[in-house]
Amino acid sequence: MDDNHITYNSQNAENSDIQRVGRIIISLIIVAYFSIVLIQVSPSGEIRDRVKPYVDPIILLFGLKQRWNLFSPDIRIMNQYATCLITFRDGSIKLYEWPENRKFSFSNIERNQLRKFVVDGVSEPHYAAYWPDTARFLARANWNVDNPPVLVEPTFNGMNVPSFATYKKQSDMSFSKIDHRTVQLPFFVRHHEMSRGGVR
Amino acid sequence: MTSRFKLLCSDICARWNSFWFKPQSALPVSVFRIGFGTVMLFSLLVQFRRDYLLFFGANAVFPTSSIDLNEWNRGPAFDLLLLLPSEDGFRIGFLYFSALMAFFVTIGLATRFSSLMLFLCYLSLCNHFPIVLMGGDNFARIISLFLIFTPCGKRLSIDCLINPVSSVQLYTPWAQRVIQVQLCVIYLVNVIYKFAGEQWRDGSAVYYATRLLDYTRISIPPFIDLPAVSKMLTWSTLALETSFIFVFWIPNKRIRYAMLLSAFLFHLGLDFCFGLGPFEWFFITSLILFISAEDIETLLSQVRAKTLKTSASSTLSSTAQSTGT
Repeated sequence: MDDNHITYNSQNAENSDIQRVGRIIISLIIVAYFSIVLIQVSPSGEIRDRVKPYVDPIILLFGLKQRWNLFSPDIRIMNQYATCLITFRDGSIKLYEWPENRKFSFSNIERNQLRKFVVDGVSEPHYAAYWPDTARFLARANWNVDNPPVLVEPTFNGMNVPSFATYKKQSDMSFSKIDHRTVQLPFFVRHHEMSRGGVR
Repeated sequence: MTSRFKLLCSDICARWNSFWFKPQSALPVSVFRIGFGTVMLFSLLVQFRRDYLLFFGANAVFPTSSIDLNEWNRGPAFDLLLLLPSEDGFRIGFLYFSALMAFFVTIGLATRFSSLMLFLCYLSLCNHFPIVLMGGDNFARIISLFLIFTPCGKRLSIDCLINPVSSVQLYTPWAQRVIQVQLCVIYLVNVIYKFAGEQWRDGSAVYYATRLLDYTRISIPPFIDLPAVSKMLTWSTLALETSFIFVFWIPNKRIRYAMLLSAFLFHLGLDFCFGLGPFEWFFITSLILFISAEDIETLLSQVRAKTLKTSASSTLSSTAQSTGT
């Protein structure tokens, strides 16, 4: 044995009991691993739903999450972004935009995670559980002792891509018209929750 | 019947053992280690660093309690960041430590330890704020887990210079095989998902993908921006990805290398067209695992010979200059 790797320069290595046990253990690990993969990627069903709660902690603990549906089954047909309306105590309203928002200049790798957060994360109803946290964060970031924020309204904005049937060349597309604007879960800021904080 | 069954079982066992345990050279996985470590280093220093404090800082946009509730479901999650004092300095230090481990993996210094630490650090980062993760992060995490069990530090590494091992020594490739099979599983799952999507079947997928402003990197020249071209590219993508599930395992080297080249160009093209972070580069580096050790060895010896020739000729010319002949 060399650093847990079985070397094959000895002729009797094949017959070694230790080696055989090692192979069996590794084989079991391989089978267990790909079973976990299969459970994750298979469609929802009785067996999967029954087994998954037992497998989820293992997935989380070892980071075995499998999610390979980039651009599939269907591609998003909307250019979307998130904004936020912040109402202050004196009645003034501020439109907050996330960095790089609306310019959609995320193609630079440096802003890849921000793109994921702003476009696929914070604006999606799937992440509704995080909207109060988002609102709290933005209230902290826009905190003013004399005129504190009293209401934060995360807003979803979307512009539909013209359908394939009405094919539009990329160069002819206009992205100025907003088709959808939905205010999501207005959050009333309570003073005792807030502390000074900052967002870059 | 029983003897036939026994024969079948022993045949399956033999094939299983041959696939996962038949000794292989450590060279392909060592070259892969260099590529993977480089992409990881790039990912940590470029992709993670820019908005790091927004997601991983002490005053991050979402507190850990929310992540615990909504992502971890109050289950066990490995997160070394939680063991550190809740100060931005420590959090930034953690990122740079992770990058240092990626660098050590790249150069092959204390490879087993550094690959273990890289996995633990990366797992912590992934668990700490999973909302910003992409497919590439998931793949990288799985690779870094199995890389620990490969003999990736046995060739082309600092470890190798410190403790020289014979270049003909062979190792069990099971962990390398897991990464290879995982890559094919990704293609398989992706293809199944894509065939389930109407846009992929009717040929409009590329049209929609190239209209998503947050992903698209290129402006399509109007003369090729046509429905027929979109259909052709959509269906070509499906055909290529379907073939990638199987063809990397073809023993015929010419076919295999032709498909590896097409996979390389395919992922390079995707990276050129869409801003998907290091996603495509993890795939590209994984293709190295399908190149045979002999061919890499031949290539390396050619490079070595060329380097020696160049250095010898430069030494000769400098000697000639100094002696004035």
